[in-house]
Amino acid sequence: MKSLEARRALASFTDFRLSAFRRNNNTDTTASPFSFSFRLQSNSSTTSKRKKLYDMEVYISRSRSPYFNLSYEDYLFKKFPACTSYSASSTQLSKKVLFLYTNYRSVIIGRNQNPWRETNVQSLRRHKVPLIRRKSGGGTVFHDEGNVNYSVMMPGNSFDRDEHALLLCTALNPVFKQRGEETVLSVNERHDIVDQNARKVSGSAYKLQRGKAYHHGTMLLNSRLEMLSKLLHHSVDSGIEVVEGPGVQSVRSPVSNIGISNELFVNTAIDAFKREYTTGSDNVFKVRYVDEDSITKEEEQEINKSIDELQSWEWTFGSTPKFVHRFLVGDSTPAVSFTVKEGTILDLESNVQEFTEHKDSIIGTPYRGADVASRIDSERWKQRLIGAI
Amino acid sequence: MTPKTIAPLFTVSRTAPSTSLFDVLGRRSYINSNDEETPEGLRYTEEHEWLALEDGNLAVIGITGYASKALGDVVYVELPSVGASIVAGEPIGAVESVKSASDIYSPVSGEIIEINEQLDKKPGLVNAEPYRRGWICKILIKDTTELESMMDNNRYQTFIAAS
Repeated sequence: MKSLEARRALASFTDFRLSAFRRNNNTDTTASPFSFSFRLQSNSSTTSKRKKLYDMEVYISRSRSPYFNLSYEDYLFKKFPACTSYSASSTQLSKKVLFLYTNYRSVIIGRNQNPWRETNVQSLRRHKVPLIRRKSGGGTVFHDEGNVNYSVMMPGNSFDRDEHALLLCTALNPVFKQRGEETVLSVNERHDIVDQNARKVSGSAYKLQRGKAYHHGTMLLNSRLEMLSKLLHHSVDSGIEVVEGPGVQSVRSPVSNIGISNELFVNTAIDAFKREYTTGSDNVFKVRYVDEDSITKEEEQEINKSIDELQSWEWTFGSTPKFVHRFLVGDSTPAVSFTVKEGTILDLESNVQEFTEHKDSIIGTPYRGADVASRIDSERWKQRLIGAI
Repeated sequence: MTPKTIAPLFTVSRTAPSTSLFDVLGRRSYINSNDEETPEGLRYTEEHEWLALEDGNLAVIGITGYASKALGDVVYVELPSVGASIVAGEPIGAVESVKSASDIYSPVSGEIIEINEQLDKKPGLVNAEPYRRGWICKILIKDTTELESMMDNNRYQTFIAAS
């Protein structure tokens, strides 16, 4: 019962109505793996006596820049009204925002992750793939033009981790059937969308603030999955580096594409939200296309500030909490271990003369490959550090 | 839902054998029928933060057991910087659980004097001991009138029962 409660405690930090949620959404009450199949159906339309309707605002980005898209998402969230009522049955008409965007090839890490642990920094550099830290929690994902991201913003008292993922599954499954494909999607216990072979097609992450929350996720349509392993599978796996420290660790899952076009996915998603949450007569339903050229002057100012932050080294790498990064050689003994805090080298331990010799000048250096390499003489180590840090 | 009183000499934590609340804050504790603990003498907010006053104007802040249970297993706590100036209602950090980053707000204005560094290695303390070793930070309060709008134990119990 405790684990069921924990799973069902789909709660916002500030707005929580567990008992009402249970009353309104009581189809699958078991925690057994067999309830998995029940999760194909979206709860809200079938069981709640009073279906909650919303004004829907849909934004579709024409930009492929992850910096613009994540900044615009943050901007939409900032503008989203915080609900003041703690009651989920409040008749105060609320709205939801759906934002759909596609990024060019990039790797996005969660707010509280360690990029050196979760990604192969050297590989990212070599393939010229940008690394970006987002504002929501969760793990590391790979974006490219075969992936469409969806972001749903909702009032705090409507926070639900699975509702919108389920809605997408319900909308997409008939599409596959019509095309004669075997694909059947469902939501698993980790709030990811998986196919009939338990391969992940969409990962979720959330952000909660007072009175409001958002759920965003990827959707692998025709993504270059072979790039994923090159960029995310870290040198930690091959045993040449070890990263020790706090931070959220990614959970690896086998992935798969669902193989429909970006356009078909976008249209299916918008249609599903429209049908689910609006009646057409009482609720507002708006769709707006956005990109760098079509935003207003005041939007531009805020968004540019956000873009600058996302592009800054301080936010992406420098905000990593204190950790130890060990570089191993051959027989797995660490040749050098750096203790890094707030993006600066705090301490160094090494059995290699190269590092002990220059210890004083290395301590205090920003933890960037070029900066650290400039403090030592060995070409071999310079190359290794420039690549890995 | 009548809360039962626990005598101070008993350990009140159900999740880990640790110092009883009485030792740390010198207060009795209540556990309601949903197994939610709400210590007496603390002040509570509608955002589920608790505040304990030490020495007149030093406030210890944390999140309640109710909130930490709803959040799920906390895997990371973002703490504010020591020395930072805070205005009541501003975010002072965030908690990550189940892929969700949730902001924590300060109920009072003041200066951050101390942060709980144990949470770096053991973020789960927020779930296991939300009122003891899971405290978040200590703030030196400037204006004690801000405390008056906070809820006491009974009002908070009523509030969470109603939601």
